[in-house]
Amino acid sequence: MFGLKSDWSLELPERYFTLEDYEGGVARWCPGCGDLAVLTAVQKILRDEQQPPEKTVCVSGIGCSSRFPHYMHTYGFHGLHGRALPVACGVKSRRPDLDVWVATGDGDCCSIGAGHWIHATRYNMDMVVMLFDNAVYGLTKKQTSPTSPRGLKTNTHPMGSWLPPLDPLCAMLGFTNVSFVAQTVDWNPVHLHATLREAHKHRGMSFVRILQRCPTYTAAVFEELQRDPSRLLLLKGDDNVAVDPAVMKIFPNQAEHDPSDIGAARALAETGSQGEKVPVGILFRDASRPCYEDFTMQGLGISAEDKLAGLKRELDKFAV
Amino acid sequence: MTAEFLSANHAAATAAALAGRANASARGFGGGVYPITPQSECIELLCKMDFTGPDGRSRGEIVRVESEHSAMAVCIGMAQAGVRTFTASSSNGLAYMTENVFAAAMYRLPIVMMAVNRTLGPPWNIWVDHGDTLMLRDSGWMQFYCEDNQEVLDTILFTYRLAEDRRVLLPALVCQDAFVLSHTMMMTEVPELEQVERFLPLLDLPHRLTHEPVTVGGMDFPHETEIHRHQHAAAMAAVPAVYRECQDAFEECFGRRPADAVEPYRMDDADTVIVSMGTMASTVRAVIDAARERGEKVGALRVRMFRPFPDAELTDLLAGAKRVAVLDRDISLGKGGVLWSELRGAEPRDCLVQNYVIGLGGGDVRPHDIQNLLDDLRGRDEVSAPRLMEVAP
Repeated sequence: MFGLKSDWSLELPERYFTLEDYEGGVARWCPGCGDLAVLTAVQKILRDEQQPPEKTVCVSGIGCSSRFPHYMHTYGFHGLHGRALPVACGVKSRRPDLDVWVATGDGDCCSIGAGHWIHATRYNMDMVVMLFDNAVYGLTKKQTSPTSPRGLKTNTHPMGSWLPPLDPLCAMLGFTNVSFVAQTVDWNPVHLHATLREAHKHRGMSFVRILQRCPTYTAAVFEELQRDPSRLLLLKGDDNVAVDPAVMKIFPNQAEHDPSDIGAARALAETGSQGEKVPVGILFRDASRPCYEDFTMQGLGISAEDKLAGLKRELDKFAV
Repeated sequence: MTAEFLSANHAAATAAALAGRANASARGFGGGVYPITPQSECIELLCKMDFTGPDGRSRGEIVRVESEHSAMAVCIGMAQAGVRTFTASSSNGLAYMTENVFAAAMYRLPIVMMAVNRTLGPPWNIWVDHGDTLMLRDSGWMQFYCEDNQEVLDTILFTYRLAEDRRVLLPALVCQDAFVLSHTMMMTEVPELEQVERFLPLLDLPHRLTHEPVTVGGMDFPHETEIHRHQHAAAMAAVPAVYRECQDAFEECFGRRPADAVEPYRMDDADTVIVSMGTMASTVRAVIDAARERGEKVGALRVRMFRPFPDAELTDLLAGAKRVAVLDRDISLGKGGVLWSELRGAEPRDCLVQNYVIGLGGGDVRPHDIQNLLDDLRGRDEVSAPRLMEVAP
């Protein structure tokens, strides 16, 4: 780590953290915005895991959801539009000890930052990537996003969007070295919390698409899903998101799904992208996929004497 | 000609659409667009417009792309196909677009872009600052800074004719101040399409995609780059003469004359001069009027065309000046105001030129702020480093 070890091995006194320790500024999202539920879920996970705030970094780009770091009392980086992922990769690559959370939206990740999305997936650095997908550009006040459903009337498509929406799950499951893909909904706080907790436990880039209501611009887009849970398909199984049986009852449609089966995951994503049986739970998980850090952290434990000895061995090869 | 109550964002979109429709019988109109505050209303209005011709065929295409970089790339592709192209952006959107902004000029494509001047972030700020477009000073684009909504509308029409002139063939950036103009509605005269058609010849791009396949771009060796830069520089040098021709034609078609590259105000016997760009010039004029009433020999210059820089005009207009204040709503960190550093050398011998950096990040520059710096200028024996002024919040 080129002499940076002293930064990330700083010894800190033991403390007990409460929810308040993770609360930053008062959230200024619209009333009823799904982002508020995600904020609460993340704060609870950090509290449950007693993650020190100074060991946690929230990175975002631009958009409504990218105000996330302001509302967390952790390190925060409100970055440039579309650039949340490479900034998070920069932080993680030199400070692998930090717990990195990325807050990005359907505009930030799937539109202006889509190039980084593919490569961050391939680097597979250990971080949680939360895609707040409200199917619209909210901060600039209602323009079509790549995930806007066909026919959605916006200020850039007043007669309705004409292209089929990009499906982030289908895209993710096609990227090289993908290691964790899940989907959840902001209006089920138990499932949301449990899914993010699983994502946090996974080593590698954990991508969670959160279907997130925007009461101001796309209220109707998620209303049907919210009111009719039979449109959703709860993924369950030994290696999937575990929620209380009482919560499971909310979902009339349930299916056993083995997240190690990428073919089955792709089929679920494809069906969901048609608006039928929208899967919620872990679609894919493979902890054996290589992480970028596996390579860059090699040699960290080697002593100065051993390094010197190794260097001498190499130089000795040129001895005449 | 009708008078409409328009914001400058809508004035820009209205002008672009008129220019586009005036090219309907040639290769039409279009552009790539992407929203960014405080420009979004401009491209939203374009997205609401119908460019279908009387025969049912499309005469225009507004492509809703995924980023500013792509917005300019689409304009490049369209312009290369001979289409009259337009886009709009602001601040960090321009920063992200920059690679293609340079490319558009190097390809010598007469694209017109409206930029709403907004502070570059982070930290994020949506208010006016000229630093975003001045960052593109060396991009090979012509640059114009407007003072009111009518000037925004007129300048977009004006720059299409200027940009598409075969002696020029350069893209043009039409700038307006965030919120002060972009979101402020003013009575604006909107010309009829026939008038615009009379003013704007059909675009006939000499190097458009046609029946002879060629690859543009490619690789230059040093001497070839020299030739290309010399040609580009010659096109910039041709602008002032073509500009004056366009003024005459505009006046003939629309009945009003666009301002000169540098617009003088009460300069006749002025020994003290305030130079500025954009909407600050209106405030400066109010201060000049008050000072004139007190018998002071003061005048003002508004730089409307920043690229090519109007050195000759400024040299003529400043010939009698003893003291000059240059107001910059921007800062080139490590130097000072950009307008000031560009203007240096245009002043006569023994003239004191002081730079005031004021209104950064959208600070409200009021008449008493201008009066304060005028007092400062009058009390000076020598110039100092650029003064960074603070305005009251």
